[in-house]
Amino acid sequence: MKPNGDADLLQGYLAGDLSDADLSNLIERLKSDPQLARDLIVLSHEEAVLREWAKGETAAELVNRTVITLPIRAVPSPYRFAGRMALAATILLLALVGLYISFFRIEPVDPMNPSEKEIVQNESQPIARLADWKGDVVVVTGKVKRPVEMGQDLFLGQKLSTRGGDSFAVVVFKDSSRVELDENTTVSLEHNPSKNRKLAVQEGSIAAEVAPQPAGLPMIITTPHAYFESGGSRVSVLAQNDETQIEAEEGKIELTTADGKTLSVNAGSTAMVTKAGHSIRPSNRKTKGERSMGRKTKAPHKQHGKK
Amino acid sequence: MESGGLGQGHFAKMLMQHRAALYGYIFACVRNHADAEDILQDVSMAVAQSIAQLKCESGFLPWAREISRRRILAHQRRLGRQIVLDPELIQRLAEAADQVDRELDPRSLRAALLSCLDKLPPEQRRIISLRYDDSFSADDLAASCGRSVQGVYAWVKRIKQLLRKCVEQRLTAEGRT
Repeated sequence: MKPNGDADLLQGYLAGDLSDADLSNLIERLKSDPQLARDLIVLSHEEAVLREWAKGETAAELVNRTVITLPIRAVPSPYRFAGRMALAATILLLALVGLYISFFRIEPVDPMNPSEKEIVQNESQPIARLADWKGDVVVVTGKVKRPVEMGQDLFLGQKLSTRGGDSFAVVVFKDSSRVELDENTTVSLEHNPSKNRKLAVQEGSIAAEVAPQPAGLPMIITTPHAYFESGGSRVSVLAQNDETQIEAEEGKIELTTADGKTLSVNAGSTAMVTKAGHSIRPSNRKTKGERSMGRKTKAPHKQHGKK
Repeated sequence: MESGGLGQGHFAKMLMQHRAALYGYIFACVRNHADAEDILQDVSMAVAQSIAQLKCESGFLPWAREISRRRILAHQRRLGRQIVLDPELIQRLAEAADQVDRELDPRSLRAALLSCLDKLPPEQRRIISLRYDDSFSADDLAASCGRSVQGVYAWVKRIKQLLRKCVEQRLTAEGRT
């Protein structure tokens, strides 16, 4: 189960996403490299367990739904009466607690902190807005952290942070560029002296669809290990303590590492940059139009913008 | 027990315990879930018919894997040009699977992964469940969680990295790596 630099390649092999040339090369390597073959077996075993588990989860959900929709048999009247009383008492108690919290425990909203005010005043025009979010998401302005609000405008100088396992956020820029933040991700909205917009991924993972940018003013996306100019491209970025992974799904990107090396990452490739070096490998993602994970069944749409 | 070998009572138990390991090997060879399911079904029937030949439980996985290797090749012969497999690769992967058995008990790996799945936050569990259930297209998944297809792929990839770390930690704690 240990990940290694070939994990993406092996995942692509299992998913049938490799080009003929990459597939032939990998098969030759698998025949001559026992460690690589071992890693493939572990990865494939992992896929088998995940598949087995997912089928069990679906079956369990089906059983739950069936049980919920079954008519509930009448409970003998003394118990039914006691049950109703208990339910009523619980509802009353919850209502009282809710009222108490509403009237006595809500802390007044802080007036705008000086550093927060300065940033918002200096950048009177928002550059983006929060289009969707879920879980614990905060916007950091200067030294002030505030929970986000749906549709909230975002300004240069602010940071957006998703915290906790189920959190995510979607930011849409004025030019329709869209950035999705996974859980435990922090990005800051900045600009450099040339007035390029800069999205700094401090930690975590984003998926960005960057609209074509004005000539000479590409959006710059940075991580602790590398940066690149983006425009008319779709990229995924994963920034961790020791490594950055940048995957170009559409459009070629020119990447510059922290030690000044320049890399070209073509669509369908992933660059991995660490302090020790870098590598570029085919991604394991299907191209647009090939995407399918199996049978087509519509999933119910979920509500977002809620904690 | 039958003729000193394992009985039918062992068959279901052993197959349940090693199903993921066998499926993993077959899938690594054929890279197609429908083919892998068909072959595993053939293997299950062959194992059920000849379980009495097996003397001890510890020999089950290598024995069943050898049956799997032959069934994979038979499957290829049956399908002709529709599926192109390299017999040498299938043999190398069988050797690699034997190596994995020696280094890591596949059952421990499975137990560790299931335990780590249990610890995932509900939304992450849900997306992994939908991703591996085969019932949803990428577009459906993206629509169901309010993200782009690209975002869903990146998210699933990240969750799997977290799972790998979790499994590694668990196995290390158990002294298995």
